[in-house]
Amino acid sequence: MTFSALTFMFLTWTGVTAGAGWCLVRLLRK
Amino acid sequence: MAGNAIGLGNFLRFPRLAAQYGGGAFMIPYLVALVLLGIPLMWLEWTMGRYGGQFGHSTTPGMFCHMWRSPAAKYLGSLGVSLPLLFVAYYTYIESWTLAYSYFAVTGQYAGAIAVDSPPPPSIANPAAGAKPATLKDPLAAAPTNQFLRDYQGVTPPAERRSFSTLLPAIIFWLIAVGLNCWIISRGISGGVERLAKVAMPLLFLFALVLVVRVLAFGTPDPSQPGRSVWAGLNYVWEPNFTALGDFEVWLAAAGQVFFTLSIGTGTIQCYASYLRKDEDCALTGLTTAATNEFAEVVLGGTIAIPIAVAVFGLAATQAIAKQGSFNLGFVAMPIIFEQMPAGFLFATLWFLLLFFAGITSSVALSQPLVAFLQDEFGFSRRAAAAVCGAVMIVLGLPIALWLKTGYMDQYDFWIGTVGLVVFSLVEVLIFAWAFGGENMWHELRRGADIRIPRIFYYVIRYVVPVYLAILLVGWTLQSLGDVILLKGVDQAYHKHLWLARGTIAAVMAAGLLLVRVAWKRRGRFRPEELQ
Repeated sequence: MTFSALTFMFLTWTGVTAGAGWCLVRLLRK
Repeated sequence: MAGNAIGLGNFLRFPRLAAQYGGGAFMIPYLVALVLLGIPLMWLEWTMGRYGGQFGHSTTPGMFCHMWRSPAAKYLGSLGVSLPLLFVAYYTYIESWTLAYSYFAVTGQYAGAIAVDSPPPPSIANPAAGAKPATLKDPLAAAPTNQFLRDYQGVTPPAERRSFSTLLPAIIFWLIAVGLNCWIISRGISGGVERLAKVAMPLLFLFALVLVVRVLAFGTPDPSQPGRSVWAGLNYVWEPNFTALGDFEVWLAAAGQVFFTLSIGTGTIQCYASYLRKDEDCALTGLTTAATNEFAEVVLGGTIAIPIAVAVFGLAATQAIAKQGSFNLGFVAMPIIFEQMPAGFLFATLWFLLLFFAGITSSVALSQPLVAFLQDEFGFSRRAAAAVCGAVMIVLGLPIALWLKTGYMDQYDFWIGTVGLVVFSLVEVLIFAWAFGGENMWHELRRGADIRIPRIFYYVIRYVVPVYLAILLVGWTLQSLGDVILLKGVDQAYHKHLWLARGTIAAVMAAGLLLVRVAWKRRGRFRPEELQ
């Protein structure tokens, strides 16, 4: 994989996973 | 709600579009559309549903009346009942294929077809020197799994069928799928839909994670061809290509995918949200639904079908396969791939069960507006409403199954799954963000919110979303003008079937209008202004 593809994938995966995780945790803690 | 949003689009349509439109070139417009179109509409529908629920309405005819005091409001709202019904009529048939293929994977039925028949063409499975798969229009046309699928669907002429002599197996699996849907709906929201989600969603994520791990472990199956690897596939999906940003078609496809994947414009989100209390949060719940769906789509869906297809078929052939459509990727290419793995039947079963769980959680949600409408406005019991819903699904679905080769289902997919949902979304944005009043909409959205929504989304919802939707509508209409709308190039013998499909769609919409009129004439229990 090229560096740019790896970076784009890493950033998107991290963003989406962290976003979904943050939302779920906040929702479950209510 | 994630069960409603996560559907076949996450694992079939998204990877197909990502491959077709150049991977990384597709992801940038996709993420832009998610922020400017998907999340705002998700918030809007959640808020609209909660607001309508305060007045005892679970469907949009009643909801719209409380936002726009016009006699037209309730009739426009009828689209929120007829559209999901028409949608679920063909969606359930596709869902039944995933159920059937789960069974075939366990019993080894299509594996038998692959073994008995000739192997895939050498240019695809094991290309000869100098072969150029990219130039092939349909690389899997001669693949045995293609014949198997076409036999199952009854598309092959009877004399040429090898795996199935009649359409009966497809009809049986479809009736099982409809029966399952009706049984779940008849058990109610908490006893049926929530229970289904509690079982299906963890299994769906588990199966998807197992498949992701298996795909990543697949690596480079043929060391002599290092270009054919899972990493080359991932590279293709994620290599940013800024030059493609000038291509209008990519933006159109990306926005469309965001639209489909979040189940926007179907009336189902409002239906579920109507059960929220007055001050219960909509902002965080809506965002969680979108975020969970995106995790399933971008992280899981994007890592299964395309990377492994590139590893087995090569990049150019994978692009060509994707251009032939989602079913080609999911039902023709994937079985070939699984056959090449140790314990392939196990992973094939997981793949099709994954699709089935994704499908049934969405189809049950799509049935809710009709069921809720019959309960709210006509006093039907849930069981009776579920039975009526099932009967209508069968009446509408039978011609879809029988006349698949005529393009009957494509008419539904265009007029309902493409144009209908965008038109309805445009209607609901105009009613909620304009007729109801921008500040009223903003106040409703922020009431009880567990997160602070930036003010910029007020302007996004009021101005950007309607313009985005209008562009989508015009763009898709122009794209489909020839073959789908004007039926150019379509066999003359099929024209009557396609006009029948259009007539059926129009009749169901007219029936929706009539039911709303009858319901409003019957009611005496609501405020007089609703009796317009």
